[in-house]
Amino acid sequence: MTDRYRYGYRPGTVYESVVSLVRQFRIADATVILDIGCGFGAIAEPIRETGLTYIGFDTEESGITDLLGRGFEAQQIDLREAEPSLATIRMAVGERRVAAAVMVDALEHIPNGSEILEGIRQFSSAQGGFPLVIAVPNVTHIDIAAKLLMGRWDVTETGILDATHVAWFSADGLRQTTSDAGWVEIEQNDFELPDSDQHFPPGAAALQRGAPLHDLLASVRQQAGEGMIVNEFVRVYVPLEREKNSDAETREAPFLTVLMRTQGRREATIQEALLALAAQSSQNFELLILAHDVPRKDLGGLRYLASCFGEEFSGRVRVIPVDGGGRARPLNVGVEMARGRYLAILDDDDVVFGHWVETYERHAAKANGRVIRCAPAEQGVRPATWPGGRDGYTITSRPRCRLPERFDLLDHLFQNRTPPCSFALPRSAFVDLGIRFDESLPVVEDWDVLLRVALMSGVVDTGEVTALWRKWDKGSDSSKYVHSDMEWRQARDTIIAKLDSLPLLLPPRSVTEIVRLQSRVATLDSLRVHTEGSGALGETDWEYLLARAAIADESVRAVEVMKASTSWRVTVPIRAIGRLRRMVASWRESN
Amino acid sequence: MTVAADPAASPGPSAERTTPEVSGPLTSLRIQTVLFHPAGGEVERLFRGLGNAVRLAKGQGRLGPVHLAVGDCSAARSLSHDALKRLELQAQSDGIDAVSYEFFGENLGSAAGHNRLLMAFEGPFVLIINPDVFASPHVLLELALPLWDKRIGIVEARQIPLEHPKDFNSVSGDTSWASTAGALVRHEVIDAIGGFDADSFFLYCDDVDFSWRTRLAGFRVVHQPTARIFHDKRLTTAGRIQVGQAEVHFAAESALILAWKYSRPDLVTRWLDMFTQSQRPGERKVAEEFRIRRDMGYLPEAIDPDRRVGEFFGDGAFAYHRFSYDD
Repeated sequence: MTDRYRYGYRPGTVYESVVSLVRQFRIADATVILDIGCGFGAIAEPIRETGLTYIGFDTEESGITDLLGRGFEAQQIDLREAEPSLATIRMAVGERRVAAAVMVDALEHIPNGSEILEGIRQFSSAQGGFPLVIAVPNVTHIDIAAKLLMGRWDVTETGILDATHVAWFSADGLRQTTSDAGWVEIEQNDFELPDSDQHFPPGAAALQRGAPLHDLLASVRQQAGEGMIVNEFVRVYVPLEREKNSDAETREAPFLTVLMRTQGRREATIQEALLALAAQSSQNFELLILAHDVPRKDLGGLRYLASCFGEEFSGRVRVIPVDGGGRARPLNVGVEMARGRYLAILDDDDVVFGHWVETYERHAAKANGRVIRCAPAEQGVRPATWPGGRDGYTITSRPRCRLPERFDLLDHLFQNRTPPCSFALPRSAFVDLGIRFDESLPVVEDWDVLLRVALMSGVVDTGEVTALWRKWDKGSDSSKYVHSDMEWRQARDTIIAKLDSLPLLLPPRSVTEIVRLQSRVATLDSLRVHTEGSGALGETDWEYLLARAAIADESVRAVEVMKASTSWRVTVPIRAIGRLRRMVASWRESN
Repeated sequence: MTVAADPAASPGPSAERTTPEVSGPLTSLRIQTVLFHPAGGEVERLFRGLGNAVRLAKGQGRLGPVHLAVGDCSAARSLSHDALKRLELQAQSDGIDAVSYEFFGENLGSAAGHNRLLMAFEGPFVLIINPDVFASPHVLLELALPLWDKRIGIVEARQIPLEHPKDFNSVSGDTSWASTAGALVRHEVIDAIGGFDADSFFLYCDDVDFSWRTRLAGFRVVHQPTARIFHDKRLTTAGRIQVGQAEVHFAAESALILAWKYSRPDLVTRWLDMFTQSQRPGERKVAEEFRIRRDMGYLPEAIDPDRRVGEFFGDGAFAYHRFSYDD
């Protein structure tokens, strides 16, 4: 071993993180700390200072000799040979009890890490369960991710991409490796470096905080999972025998997971939602009935309703109690339990046509990973009493397709144009990008997620009506009326603010659309200049102006969104348009 | 032709084994449907839904022997021997005691097809159901609820996802007519009116006429909103129900005949004029054919001169509609 790995213990290093975990989780009445793959034993002294006995093990003789010279126990082992290495470790410990074991920067240097971890786990179990602290470099650091997009993979003498590494770890990869060996993680003390040793070349837009490209990549990486700025994962594990491959994991995953929120108060409509699902032309789905704050005694009723459709159907239905939180909470619980390739929301008062699942499935086969959006249709309903005095509802309007048949991202930035029952989301957006429903939003949580997934994944339109979104008249317990106007406005503002805090990925042809909006604004602005000097206006002029102002209204608000964005700055004086509308109203009042 | 004995009429040994006692009116039940080139999986879905309903009702001791009769108006047999065998096994496991399949060899239309099947009906009730329907598990239990009143001749199920807009009394359930997409009919109704008027109605309005004659015979027709059936209709992106040209044709023709039969010459004249001047060739053809039938004396005898049951609203609604799919 060359001196390139001769590191000393210093505060603010990975070694401090390791020693901190050892002190916190070691077996209190045991005395020995095993440092497996110890190198030059950077943590030996701090361990000894706590009154513990340090024993180092490594392949390289130079490190062992150095440790022995400093008065520590140390033995040479070849970790690539698991059995003899583990035998040597056991022999070195003898009758003593192990307080903890550590593997710092060791797993990435050996091809048989799982075997070693399994052997240590068996030793730990035999000793009563001492903990294991592991530190490994994180190859999913944002610097590595950004440089891969630049086509760079810079192997270095030491560091995250050390030339001698033979294994590379992400957070999930480490979790899987340790879990397979029978360890369960109980605490993290990751060593973070926003600028890792891979933070070069200087000036690269993908690496520089504040550059839109970096900020976009960082936002994706941050949301996708832990470890964006972690230089080394430092985690502590305890041995735990676990049964592998539960039934739920081994069953073939369906195409779609249907998330059905219910508060158990709409027996009439939930029966119909279930009926419509059981009637689907494609039964390639599972149904999670998310019973939100439903008394435990009532859960049996939900299970009964599903069971009436027979075992083939009810075998694909799970009733999941969810307590607390707002409208987003049950959806997030469902996301965690979902197994389908796609997720769709069907609330207990909506109803679907026979090809709802089939249509999603057909289009996902052609555009896998995109959001699948159907043409929305809505129908008015209100509570009613049915013969026999039973609670029901009555239809108050024919189905209407007021919302756009095709998805328009800019339009959706302004307001939601897609009810939850009219789109399906790729589960990958939740699993791989880490997107979740925002539980701080009392309403429009579906709009928020639709926007965020659409921005990343894109949208494919089916051009078919496959669901009926029920719009309850006033007096019902629909979210439209349960939540105040203030809550709706605040939720909308929150979504806009969240989007505005990051660069946006807009789909092709967005610039054309922005230019078109901008052009409308300019037209209205010139109209204002024209009318200011024209004196009194006739009735026709008023109608014309108001009509133009109304047309412009949505355009203006959409442009406002663009204008406020950090990455899409539109500099036209569009506030003048808002003034124009007020001005027109004022003129009319005075005439 | 295969026609199984109707266990609804005379419970066989298996029925006696499985349902010694039945509480409620459905001591036995005949279910019948008429196929016409069914879509893939449609018949299996129909059987699955009915199987759920029969299993649930029998499990509660509220249903006696059940015979499911299938008539087929398609150009060729819709069900192969093997497919039929599979359906029979599925039905049997759900508690349906007998399944019969009759290939008509010609397109009789739904009215004549059902009449043909009704010839073997001997029990107290028949459930007439469309093949593109998926019944809810509770549909039989719910349809049976109003039957304590012997004056009720037909109990109509509620269709989802597109509910029929016709009005019904929110207390009694009384309604102008019942759609036979899913309707339970008392045998005495068949005895009284003799089935569908297949000579006048080929595909549409046969159930309106059937219902109105039922009411003329002194029975009530009620809608039971808690008896749900999923009727596989689709919407266009304009929010309209998807209908084919044939449906438009037969609906127009049937409306004219209905107006004629229920003594509304004013409507006949108006609609004939409207169809004659229509830009749509199909509607002009309907008007032409109607005149030929009238001139040759092929139209039914006009009944209900006092307009006791015939209800005509707007251009083609045969009850007051709570909302319109056409506005």
